[in-house]
Amino acid sequence: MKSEDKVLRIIAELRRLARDEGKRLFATSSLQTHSIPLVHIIARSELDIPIYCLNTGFLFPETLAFKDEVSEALGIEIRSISSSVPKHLQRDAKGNFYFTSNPDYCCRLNKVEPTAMLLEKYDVWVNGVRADQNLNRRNMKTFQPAGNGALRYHPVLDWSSKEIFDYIKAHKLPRHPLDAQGYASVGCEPCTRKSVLEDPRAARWFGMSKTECGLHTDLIEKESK
Amino acid sequence: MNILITGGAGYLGTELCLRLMQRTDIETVTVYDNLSRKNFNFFLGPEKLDSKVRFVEAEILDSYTLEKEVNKADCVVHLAAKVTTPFADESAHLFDQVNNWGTAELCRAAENSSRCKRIIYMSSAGVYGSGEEAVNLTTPPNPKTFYGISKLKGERHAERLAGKKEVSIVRCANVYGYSKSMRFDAVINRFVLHARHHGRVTINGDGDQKRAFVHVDRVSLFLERLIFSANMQPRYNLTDADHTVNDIAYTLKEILPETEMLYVDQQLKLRQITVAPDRNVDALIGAKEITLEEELREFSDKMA
Repeated sequence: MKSEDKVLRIIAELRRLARDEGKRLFATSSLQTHSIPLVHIIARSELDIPIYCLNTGFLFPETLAFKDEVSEALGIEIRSISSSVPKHLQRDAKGNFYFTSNPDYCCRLNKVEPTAMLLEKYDVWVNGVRADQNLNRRNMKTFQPAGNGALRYHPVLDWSSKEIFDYIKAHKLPRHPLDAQGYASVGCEPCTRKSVLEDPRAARWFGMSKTECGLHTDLIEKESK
Repeated sequence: MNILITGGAGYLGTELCLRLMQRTDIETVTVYDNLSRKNFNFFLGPEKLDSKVRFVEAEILDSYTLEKEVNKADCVVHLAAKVTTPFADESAHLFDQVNNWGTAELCRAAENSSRCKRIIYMSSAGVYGSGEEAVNLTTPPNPKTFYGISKLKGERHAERLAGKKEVSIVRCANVYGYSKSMRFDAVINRFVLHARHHGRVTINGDGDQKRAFVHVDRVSLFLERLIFSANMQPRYNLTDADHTVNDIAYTLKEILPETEMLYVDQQLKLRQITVAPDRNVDALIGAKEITLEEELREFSDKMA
């Protein structure tokens, strides 16, 4: 299927969910270069789908600046959500932040729990996971239950990296400023390093077996519909 | 106008607060501090704290309290920092926690506040690292210590808000001078204390290392004027003069002739940093007119 046909199918699906079924939709974006096509498609849908940035408090300032740039370029509002747990209560027994000893728990506090709160307010969570990103995502479905009655919708699950970047080029979408510095995958600053090896995701939690923050492992029911 | 001073009960904050509370155009000065140095001198002394001074005991990473206080402020002066001297390489993570991520928390709160319009971030000349040539505002930062690295990272959070708020970054030299909250890990202050009461100052290395210094009174005056400046610059290098550690010790010896110098690791040549005067600083507070010797004599006379 041609890329533009895929886009039109996504927009039709979003409209079906929002207009025909009356579902309340929201989207999250990591605000990396490769996640901007989905944000752009949502903007093209002309639906009132709030887009959230998970501001963990540990993001690169470049990412937050990029959020504003995307928002202005696409003419959309990108909201921020954060953990309700203040940073001074996010320290381990040694007084260090959890990312130094328990990154899973740090992710849970700053990404998973704020998103779980959104799932209580909305019916459908639109996010931009792709099957080609890692083994966990390879096994995901386009629609999957997120728990608590909410549904996950992964519109670009079957898109390849080339299709993503072709879309970026075709629509002249802005690029994350750290791309040019060699960051192929940009998450929280403490757990990101410049790209190494051939796998962009190796730039996250480098040296660990951890490949996911928990959004796509914890907030998902294992059995697909 | 309401002012929030993070780290406000510290050395610089104490002096700034004493100035600001005398101004009739300021309604509230909120001193936000976790008293991490266990120095309670802010609350002591003959000068009573005015009723417009509020104290909030909280740390910079207490995002909840910080947000509440930033929301009440028109201007934030961000002085809170983890600082250790003379050696600023104690723990990379602890510097990062407070100076980098603490500043990120402050900037997030300021960004979300419709009231807060102006942010003054106290950075450090330590972001320049070290070198033989005097640095100026065009010198690329190249910090050599965990402290300097963390302060530079803090600058990036403040810079991000530049299009949304009035932001100024002040790269401050080593501060010295008498204050009830003065720090005795600062080299000149320590030397004055030790020269007066021990009769001996201890010098690390050969003492020829040159550093940039600024007097605490000029820092507090500068900050006061910057808060109200209609022509606030995005960045300043706040310095008075460069001195070698030996210059300071021998000037003190002029004042207190019995003073001995004890050199430790005197074969070592320690790194140095010198900072060119910033004309935008002079524009706000004028050039310094008093000599180091006159200043140290006055300082020494104030000691018990």
